[in-house]
Amino acid sequence: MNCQSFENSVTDLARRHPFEATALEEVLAHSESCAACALRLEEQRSLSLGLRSLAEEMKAVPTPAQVEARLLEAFRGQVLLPGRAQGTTRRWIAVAAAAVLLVAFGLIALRLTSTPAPLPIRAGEQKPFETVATHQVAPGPLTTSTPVLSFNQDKRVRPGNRTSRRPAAKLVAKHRPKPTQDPGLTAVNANAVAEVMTDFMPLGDTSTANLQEGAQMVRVEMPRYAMARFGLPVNMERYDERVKADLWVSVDGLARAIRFVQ
Amino acid sequence: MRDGSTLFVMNGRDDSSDNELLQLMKAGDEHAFASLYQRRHAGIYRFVLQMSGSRSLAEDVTQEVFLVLIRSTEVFDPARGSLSAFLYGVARNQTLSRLRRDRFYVPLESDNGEDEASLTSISKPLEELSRTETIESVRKAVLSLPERYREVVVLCELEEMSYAETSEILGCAIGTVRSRLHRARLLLTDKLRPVESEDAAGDVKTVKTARCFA
Repeated sequence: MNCQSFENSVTDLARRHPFEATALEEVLAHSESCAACALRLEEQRSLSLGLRSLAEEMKAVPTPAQVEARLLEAFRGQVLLPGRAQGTTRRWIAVAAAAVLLVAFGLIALRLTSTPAPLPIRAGEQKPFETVATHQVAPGPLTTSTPVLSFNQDKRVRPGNRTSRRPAAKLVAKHRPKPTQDPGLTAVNANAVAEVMTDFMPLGDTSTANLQEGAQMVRVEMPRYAMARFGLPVNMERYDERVKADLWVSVDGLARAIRFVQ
Repeated sequence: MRDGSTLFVMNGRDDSSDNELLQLMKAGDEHAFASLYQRRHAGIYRFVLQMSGSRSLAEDVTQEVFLVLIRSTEVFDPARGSLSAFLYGVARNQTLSRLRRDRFYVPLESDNGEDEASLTSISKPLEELSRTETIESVRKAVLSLPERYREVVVLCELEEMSYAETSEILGCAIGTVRSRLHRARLLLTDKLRPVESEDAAGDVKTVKTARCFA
């Protein structure tokens, strides 16, 4: 054994770490033959003695009694209050959230199914149109790229017959109820087969935000001369007659699009 | 919480493993928690005290370690190690975190050995020191070690843990523990070696001796 090997073993030797008998003999033999290593071993044994003395001293140091008292109190509190209380609180929060969601959906559904109040009319002003029927359904495609049809053009609307749409119209279509689920809509579609109507023409802002939720189609009657404002031909001999029209009313109560029906 | 009728069972709980006590504790058994505390608190407190040299910090950390056990028992995974190693690991993390944050601990000796004389204050052979003085010197020397060496000395030498137990707590290889302990003992030997300076002629002369500390 050389001094390097002795150095590798001196710690374990001083700590009384288990040694193989042959290895122990070699280490001890080297320490007897090498003064420096013998001194090294003596240092390490002295250090171990000092550390053991400190360890013995420390074993007598008690943990403050109040620590256990506080911990037991915390344990009781944890068992009796927070653990179960937290679980209960979480359950109540979940129930409350579900209730809020239910109420919100209910209100939305109620709003969708309710008939909106007619638009206010000032006293003495000629009533621009009369509401005939209201359906909470996004109407047919809102098309501006295609030419506006006049009544002279025969365009029969067939259920399921789709034309090109704007993205806004597509968004509306996603929320559109199925026709078979709405008796009113079914009636309208049945009538629509026999009706001739123009495409919807935008009235003001027809952005997605305005049309996405709660849009309603309202059947109204209005003076025939109103068609002239949309560039449609008007028979001046019948200008004072009333003509049917479908208004697309957004959730804020403003008419967003119109189509004329004959 | 258990009623008084189950108290007699407590006498048999000394044989229960830590994991068994932990399961009972999870079920709300206060006595199981008390048993766990009685079994583990002293080592944790001593470990923190020897690492920090501060009784108040040792008290705080010991309390915090068991609060972790109370509040989040699911954090401990028996498959990953023993409860003892877990508790010591929490204590170690808390202690090192506090020491770094508070920086209340002022090293008694810098690395360049400028304060060596003030550390040991030994002007006479160690064998002449009383036992109390020797213990105090060793304690200060341990506290002055860098953290990575200090924790190995505390666990292996003062808490008398095996290399395997220490490596589990520290999360390192057994070989790393051995090498750190060897290095730590060298540092301790240097710190505790008596120094004689300034002979009668006024020359600075350092004499290194290796004498028994006890």
